[in-house]
Amino acid sequence: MPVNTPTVQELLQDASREVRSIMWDVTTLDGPGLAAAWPAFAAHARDALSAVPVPDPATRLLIHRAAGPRYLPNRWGPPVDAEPDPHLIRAGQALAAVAQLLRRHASPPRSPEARHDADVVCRRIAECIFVGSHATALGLTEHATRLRPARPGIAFEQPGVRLAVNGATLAQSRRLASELATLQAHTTHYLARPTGRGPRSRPEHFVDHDRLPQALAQWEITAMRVLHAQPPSVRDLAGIAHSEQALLVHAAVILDAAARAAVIDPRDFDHQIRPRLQDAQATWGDVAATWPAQMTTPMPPSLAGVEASAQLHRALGEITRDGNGWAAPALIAERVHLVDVGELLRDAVAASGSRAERFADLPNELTRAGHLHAPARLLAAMERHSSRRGTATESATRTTDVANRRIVVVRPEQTADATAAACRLGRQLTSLTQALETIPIAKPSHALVGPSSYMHETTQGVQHANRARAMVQLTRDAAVLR
Amino acid sequence: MQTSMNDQAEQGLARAWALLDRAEHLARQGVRDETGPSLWLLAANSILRARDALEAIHPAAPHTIGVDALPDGKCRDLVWAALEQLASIPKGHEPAGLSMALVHLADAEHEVGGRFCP
Repeated sequence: MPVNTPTVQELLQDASREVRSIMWDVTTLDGPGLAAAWPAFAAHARDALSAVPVPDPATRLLIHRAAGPRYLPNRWGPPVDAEPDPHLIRAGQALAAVAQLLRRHASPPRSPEARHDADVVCRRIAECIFVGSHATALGLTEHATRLRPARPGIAFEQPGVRLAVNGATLAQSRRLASELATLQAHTTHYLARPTGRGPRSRPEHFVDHDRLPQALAQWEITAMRVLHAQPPSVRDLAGIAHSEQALLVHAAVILDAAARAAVIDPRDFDHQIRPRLQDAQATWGDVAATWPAQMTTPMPPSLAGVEASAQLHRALGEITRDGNGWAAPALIAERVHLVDVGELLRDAVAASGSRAERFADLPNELTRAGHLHAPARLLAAMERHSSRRGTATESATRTTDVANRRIVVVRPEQTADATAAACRLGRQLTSLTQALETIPIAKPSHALVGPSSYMHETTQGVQHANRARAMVQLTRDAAVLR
Repeated sequence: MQTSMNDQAEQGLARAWALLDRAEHLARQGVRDETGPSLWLLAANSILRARDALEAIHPAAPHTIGVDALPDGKCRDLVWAALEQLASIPKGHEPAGLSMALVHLADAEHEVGGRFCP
């Protein structure tokens, strides 16, 4: 009997990570590839759901819907001639393994706890179906917009038409996307249903040790792409600054737990780290405030940026939150390996400095290119605010523009505060990074080290983050070269 | 008829955007009043993500509704009102990506729910 066979929970984590990672990819989604992989993925998800003992009526209905809306043999439409998406294939394989394990070992639940566990498994599988169907539908919709209907005489001059031959056709893309949207709606309804079971004495809480390094790495890559976009969306800039602020707030909570567990010196933390963390997080808030919602560039916010931020917040929240509040330091120490997470956060703070530098360059860059627009009223209010603090130069906003509520081009001198806040932040982050480097993080003690498999997983996660950080550096170099 | 339904959907999105924009502003005020690690910051960020997800699927949303046309209310009420706006979008007229925005909005609702609201 092999001792390192993954558990159902681990396989579900793998499946969940794979389907989510489709959305992490910031390049264009491969609609035909996803559509080619979808029928097999749906079949495996369906098998896994069917293998949960005694499914309730809602689960049976979801199993029925996951079979596909059309007649045999191709319940999800004709096969798509494209290379199947590797993430969806791997997620399907993980779900197939779940089905196999459940069929071999699971028995009908007899206690409320066992029923709850069965329900959690069903929900995890449904979440995979939801994210998988969403990504596939989105990919197909994007694919459909790239295709042009063939027109006599010019059909062969359009590259999009050739895509239609090799991948999903326009009609196929649209129809499957619509069918997947229906499945998505059904899955949402399934996930939103009340479980009808009483509270458990110990709520289930499982922390995936790979999740934070991966979410952080993915968020950093997305942030660098946004910061070097020409031009970036103002919403994305504010979103990045607020995420940086949240990252430092979570870092303070985790490092506080590390100090209480004697992983770092508590006095050093109180005197050197905590005040610097507080200052830097407050200044990230100030930097975010210099990119208000009324200010715009021609770009709308990117869903990839929103999703990366959500994943980062969730990964941090898994460690630091308990319900709607903060988790106790002892609970945080139980959930994660504080040495590894401490080092990961130290690296993240160091990388944050380079993003702050970019924030200092952006106002001037965007205003000189004429990309930045804002209501004249907002600019006048910002000038009044600056003059109260004694940092204002001569007013650049015309009274008539204010009176007529015009949207005007922002001038370089009107973003002096944004540059100043980012420069101040850069200095604070340098000071914080230096303080973090001088404080030794204790080597793993016996009391804090988990089982060897856990250590292996954590090391893998950190290695992944380092690889991804190297990618960030490459992206940054590429951006500089451009 | 089709156009009117689409207009109704766009109005709903724009109104939800404006409600979330105000809710985020109120949540950020809560950050200033807190001592220690701020939970309101996380609530504000979750509202921000929901608002940005709406704008990503309907970029004209910020320019459609005047601030004066919004109801007053606490942060939590505004998030619920935004949810109602999105729920009122006619069936079959939901824009692509709305389900993802709803997931972020559900996160925001979880964050502000049961908390003393600014």
